[in-house]
Amino acid sequence: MSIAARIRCIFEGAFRRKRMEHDMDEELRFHVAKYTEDLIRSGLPREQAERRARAEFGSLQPLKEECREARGLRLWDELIQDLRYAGRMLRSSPGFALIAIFTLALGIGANTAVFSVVNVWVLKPLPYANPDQLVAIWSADKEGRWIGTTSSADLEDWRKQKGDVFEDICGWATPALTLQQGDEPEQIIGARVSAEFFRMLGVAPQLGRGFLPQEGQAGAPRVAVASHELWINRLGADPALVGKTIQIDGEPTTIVGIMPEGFHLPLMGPVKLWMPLPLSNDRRLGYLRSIARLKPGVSLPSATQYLKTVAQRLADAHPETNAARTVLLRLLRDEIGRDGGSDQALTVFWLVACVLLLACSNVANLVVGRAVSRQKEMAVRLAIGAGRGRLLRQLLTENLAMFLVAAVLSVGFALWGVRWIANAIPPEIRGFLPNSGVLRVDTTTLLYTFAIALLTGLLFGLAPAIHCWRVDVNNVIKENSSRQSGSSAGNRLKSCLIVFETALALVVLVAAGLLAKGLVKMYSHALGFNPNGLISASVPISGSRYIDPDRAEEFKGAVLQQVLRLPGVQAAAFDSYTPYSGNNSTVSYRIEGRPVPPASERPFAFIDMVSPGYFAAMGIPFIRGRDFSAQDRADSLPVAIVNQAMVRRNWPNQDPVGQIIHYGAETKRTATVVGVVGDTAGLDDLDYRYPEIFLPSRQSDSRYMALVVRTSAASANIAAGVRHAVHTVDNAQAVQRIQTMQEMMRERRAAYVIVGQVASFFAVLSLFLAALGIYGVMAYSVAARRQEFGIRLALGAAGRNLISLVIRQGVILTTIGLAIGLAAAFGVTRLMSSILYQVSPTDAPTFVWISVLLFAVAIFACYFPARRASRIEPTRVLRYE
Amino acid sequence: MAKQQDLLQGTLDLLILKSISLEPMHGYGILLRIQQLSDGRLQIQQGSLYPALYRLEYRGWIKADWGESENNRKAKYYRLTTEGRRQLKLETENWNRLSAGVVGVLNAQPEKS
Repeated sequence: MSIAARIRCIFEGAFRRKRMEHDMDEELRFHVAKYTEDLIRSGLPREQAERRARAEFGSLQPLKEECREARGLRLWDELIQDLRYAGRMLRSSPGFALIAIFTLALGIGANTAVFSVVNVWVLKPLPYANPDQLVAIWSADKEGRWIGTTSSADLEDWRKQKGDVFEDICGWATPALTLQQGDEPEQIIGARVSAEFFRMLGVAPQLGRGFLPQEGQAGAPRVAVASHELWINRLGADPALVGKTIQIDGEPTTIVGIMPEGFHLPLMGPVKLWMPLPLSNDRRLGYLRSIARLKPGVSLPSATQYLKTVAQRLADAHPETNAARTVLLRLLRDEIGRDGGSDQALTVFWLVACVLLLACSNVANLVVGRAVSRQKEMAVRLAIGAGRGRLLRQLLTENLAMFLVAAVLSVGFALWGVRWIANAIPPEIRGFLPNSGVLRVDTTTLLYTFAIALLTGLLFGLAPAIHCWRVDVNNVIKENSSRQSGSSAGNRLKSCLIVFETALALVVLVAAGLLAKGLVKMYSHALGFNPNGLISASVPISGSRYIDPDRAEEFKGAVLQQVLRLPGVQAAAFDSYTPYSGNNSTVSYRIEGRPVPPASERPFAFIDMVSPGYFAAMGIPFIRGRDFSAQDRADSLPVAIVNQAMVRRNWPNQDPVGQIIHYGAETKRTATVVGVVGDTAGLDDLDYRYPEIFLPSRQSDSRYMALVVRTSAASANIAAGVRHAVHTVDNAQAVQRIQTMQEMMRERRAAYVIVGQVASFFAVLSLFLAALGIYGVMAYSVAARRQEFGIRLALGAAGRNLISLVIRQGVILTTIGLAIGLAAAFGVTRLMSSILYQVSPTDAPTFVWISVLLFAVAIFACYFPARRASRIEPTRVLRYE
Repeated sequence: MAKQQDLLQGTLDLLILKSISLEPMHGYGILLRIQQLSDGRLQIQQGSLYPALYRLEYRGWIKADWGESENNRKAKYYRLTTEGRRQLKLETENWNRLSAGVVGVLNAQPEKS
């Protein structure tokens, strides 16, 4: 059977109705005329022939109706009729229509807004070739805890031992670059990537080429690949740019390629320019992030297993740096999910789905209420011969029409919601999100909107319709009173709604509660330093003249002197790896006078090279001993300061001051502990505190300067001052990033904060909807039982008896709802553990307090209908009867 | 006037398909053709033809186009679609099988003992 023919027929009937009717008339008239002619020809007089033709042809109207039906038009006609009727019904009770449609539009709109996020962040496949083979590789400690970045030498060793497991492994770092184009030098975020990077992702440049393997070697000519955005906005969109030279960090650099529009790896951030990653054989400095492509058919666990054995070999060969290190592999998709908001988006998606179900339940409740008052209408219709199926269809159409009107209105809410979410994302982290954080309501989203409107409309429109459909004609028509005490089926439905709404609201509230608790914990846990008024600026010291560590120290000292002279600066110092900067380095060590552990079991500590006054500037408390001073020089006694975690691990009951630590290559370097400071947070807000060793900058050779400035002045002034200071000392050096500590922390915490806000908003909404729903059902139930209450009062029941009677009903239903909701929440909250900040997904206090809150609100919602029941005037109610 | 033969369910469809498989025809023509081919044995209620035609069109077995009739009047001409042709073949086979079966039953002779 041809579907096309059917669609054509229905389409013609629906949209070219006039023509179809005209054709039909024409055709039938033609037939009658022909027949008449034939009859005349056979000898009948015209008049008689006409009469006979018409008589034999049969009655026209029923015939035409039959023809329309044969073309499948009856359904359509009835639909139009039902829609007209639905429109009239809604217009006749505008209050009901307004509340129902507004509630639904809000629910559907919220869903659409969140879906547009999920659509971009979760559903769209990553825009690389075979993205499922891509994995992120991290360094981890022996317990499998995430440490982070990898050294260039380790990465090279991994690459050399790819085996049959990895197609390729690429590393990257994202330094700031100074682009000198025109008069104004501009800071842009660049990335140093392994030469195979673009090929591995399977994305070819739009113009020119990617990097050649030899371009990663030392001494190779400087080349770069530009992003589409940089090309359009800063480089004049000139197709002939490829092969030309621009000034990057003061050195001529040849542009060899332009990437296509939108090319972006969320883990990298908003990178504008890629350059080859220079190789280094320094294993100490872990600053590279890495991704790899697995060979087809290799699973994540087997790849992890394989790379762990490689890491073990490296640990055996280089125990001084690698002893404590192993690797951690995650699918790129999951990695982006953790960093890039997919997990958060999905959680919010389910929360908002619950909110929609709540909104729908409330509307269903209203519809049932109306349906009961229309029972008589239905009964009369049935009595005079309407088919029950037809009636059901009409009620369903009415409900669906309401949902579809709401869907249209919801698009407005959705647009607003998407804008709100987009604006809530701090600009600094947009570059780390899929699609660079760009959100919009597209066709897929709109299709989704109408799909959920239809689905929920069917689901929640069907129950009330069936309820109405089951009307017992005899009883309803016989009954004289204008109010029946509602059929038992109706009561059951309404009781179910209370249970359902309570359970749903509980799930949403518990989820939001857990997120909020995490936020509170995140903001209240001890940082170990004072972030207020702290500004951080990083300066990677580049150039061959600083290979001599003394020259580098001179530079740092000179810059620090300049910065200290800036107005408003209370304290300033520098280190190498500031908390919350995302950079860190580890070193293995041993304690003098203790048995030397085998290389693979040597403990490790984080290490930081600091200037005198660093702890004071950061607000890190001194526990014992002294700070570094200007007297701690390259040629004086090597000294170190340790944190309390280091003390707890190595000298639990001893004075660490005066102890000697061996660390670094072959643990050949030594330092005497001269002081102890408090622990600091900083490794991505983990509350686990790692042992840490601080060395005086002058006794180490770090080429990385991270200024920390404590100030009361505006951060913009300080930023300009710091830039100026660096340029005065050496105008070839660039400041990489200047941010307040608060900004750095906000960046790291943004995902938690946004989800917390959104979830709280929906939690309040669902609490409100649930309260409204419970109130509605109870109010209706009280109204339906007016006579009963009147009689009870007349027979001597006290008002408060009735109050407790009504409230007891509410309590029973709410308690069942709470029990179901608790079980459901217990089951589903564990799915959101990846986005909870150090809160167990089954955190008992949250579950208890949320239940108490919801219970209290439910009782409150029952109280008003209960009080109304107690104030019924028996005489009036009974006289009414 | 000849008394109308009751047609078996679905037979009318078969007759219509067969008639227009010979050449495209308008409704009245189909009626005449069926009467003519059956030597007047099959009479079809004039009006009942049209719902059947519309149903066949809805199923995609026939298609209608407006054309000029013998004396220059506009008439709707029906013709078979490819699918209609297949359906005609199928229904003809069904019919033949059915009638052969019925004939077989009716021709049964009482068994001689």
